[in-house]
Amino acid sequence: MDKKTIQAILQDELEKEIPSANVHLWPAVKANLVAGTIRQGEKMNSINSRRIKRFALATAVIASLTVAFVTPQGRGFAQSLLQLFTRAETNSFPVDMIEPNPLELTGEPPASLITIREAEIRVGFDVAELPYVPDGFNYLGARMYRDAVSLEYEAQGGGGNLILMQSQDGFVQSDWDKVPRDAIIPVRIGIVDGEFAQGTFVVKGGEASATWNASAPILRLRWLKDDLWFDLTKYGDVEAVEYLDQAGMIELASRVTTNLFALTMEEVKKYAGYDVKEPAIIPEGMTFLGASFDPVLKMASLSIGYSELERIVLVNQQPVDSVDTCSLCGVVGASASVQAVQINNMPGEYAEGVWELTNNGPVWRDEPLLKTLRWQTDGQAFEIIFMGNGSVIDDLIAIAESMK
Amino acid sequence: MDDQIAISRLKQGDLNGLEILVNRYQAQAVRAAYLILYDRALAEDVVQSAFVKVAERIHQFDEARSFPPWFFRVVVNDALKAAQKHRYTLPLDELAENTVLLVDWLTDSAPPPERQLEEKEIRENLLKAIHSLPPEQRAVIVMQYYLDLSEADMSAKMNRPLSTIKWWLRDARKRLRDLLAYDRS
Repeated sequence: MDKKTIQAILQDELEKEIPSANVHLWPAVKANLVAGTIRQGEKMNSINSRRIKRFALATAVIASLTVAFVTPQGRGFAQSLLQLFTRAETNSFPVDMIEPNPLELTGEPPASLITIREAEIRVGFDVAELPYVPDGFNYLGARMYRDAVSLEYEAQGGGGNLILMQSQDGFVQSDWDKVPRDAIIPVRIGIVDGEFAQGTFVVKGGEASATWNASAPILRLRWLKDDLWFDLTKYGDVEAVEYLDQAGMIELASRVTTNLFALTMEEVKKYAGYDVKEPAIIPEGMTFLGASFDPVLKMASLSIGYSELERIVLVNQQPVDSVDTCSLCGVVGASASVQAVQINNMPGEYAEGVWELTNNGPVWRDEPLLKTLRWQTDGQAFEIIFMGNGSVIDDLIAIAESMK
Repeated sequence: MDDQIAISRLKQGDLNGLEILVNRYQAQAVRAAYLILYDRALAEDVVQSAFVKVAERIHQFDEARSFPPWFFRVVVNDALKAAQKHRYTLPLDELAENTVLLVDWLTDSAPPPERQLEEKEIRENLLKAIHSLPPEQRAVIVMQYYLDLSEADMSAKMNRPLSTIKWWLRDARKRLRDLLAYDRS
């Protein structure tokens, strides 16, 4: 029996199992797409808002990252499963003692900082993030290193960095990025194995070889999850980030996720620093699916729905410090039909539509699948977005009035 | 409307372009995902997400290329990830000898005459036989026998070296033999 016959049988059997006439994905795809537009918009806005105020990454950090990802030696690394660090055969290796000429470029300049959304477009996969900015750090932005993406944080006050690197193709690295076997500590990161190492190769004055310095304040953690290779590196030991040790790095690594709503209610309240309200009433069958917090916009977001693939309700909250920083205070498109409502005797507005992201910026599109309710009270701006068909305005008002 | 026009419309922000692609490829995609997952609802979730990814990343797509291989790459990879997450496996006691023989036959490019199976046997056991494989090998079978891709195409689709694909095909046979021997003992 030839391949064509097998294919024909397979087609027949699958047609019996899943008749073509029973597959109708378009309504769900459209609904997911609309919800995704909201999530992307939040992501883009939040990242864009993280305007880079300081661009002072230590030269050593840039140089080491550049070297680590552009040299060919490490290409074989991706093939060596469960050996996340390349092992150095000895604790030292010879180096070329060439006097640097400051007038000549000695390596590739680092790529510019970009948004996570831009990085995702370039690499073609969902970039995993930390659900919060770790204590003592400021978020700088994303940067491309060939096929890898790095998310970069700077210690408050300078003197340290935290770099989360991820790639589908493993890590390209040089001798400088290797680690002696006895410096590698196997660790467990959530459900996957990882490797931790502290130290780096350094060249001391007058020496012609690089020697491993195990006490250098460079902590590295590597793991492989969902076909992505991760490297989390902390540089520097300034006071603001001194707390972040091996256990802290592992804890951070275990939180790296593509889930935009990875915080618990307690965590989002902690990071927000204000009274984040949650609805006492949610639609039947739905549950709380997690929260997120944007430290720049000070916006807390709660996701509610049936599952991670069916997020139906999004509740956003933000202090109204000023109109400029209040993204929940903006007006909808001119074509929108806005209905005035009352929420616990406070004025609110209801509209059906969505802000779509275009090359010319956000554009309002009327979309009956999306219902938005906005109101303000006690110096806070609130928004509930509901995705779905039907008339739900009364339900949304009930949810809004139950916020405590 | 052909794929290229639908994709051009989608690139211009017209969701009708996506709707055309969904209606054209949804059944084949759900079945391909189903063959890897053996869970209809999860297969539909995977394919829905794949179409959303298509919409989000359509500007990366070169219209000079064929759309289905690009799209099915997303479907197969996402189905594999879902399978690994849910660890779908078939209990050993559901492995019948003829199932093993069928998979053996399927994964052997030149089966000897005594191993030829009747079409009736294949019809009765085909889906079960594929189910008995680990997800990665199911994906290989799906791509070779359902999506009709070459080993080289499969290598590209799964982001795996060609040697790995060939290894999976060979290992499918060996693994099932070992499992059956263990079950008998």
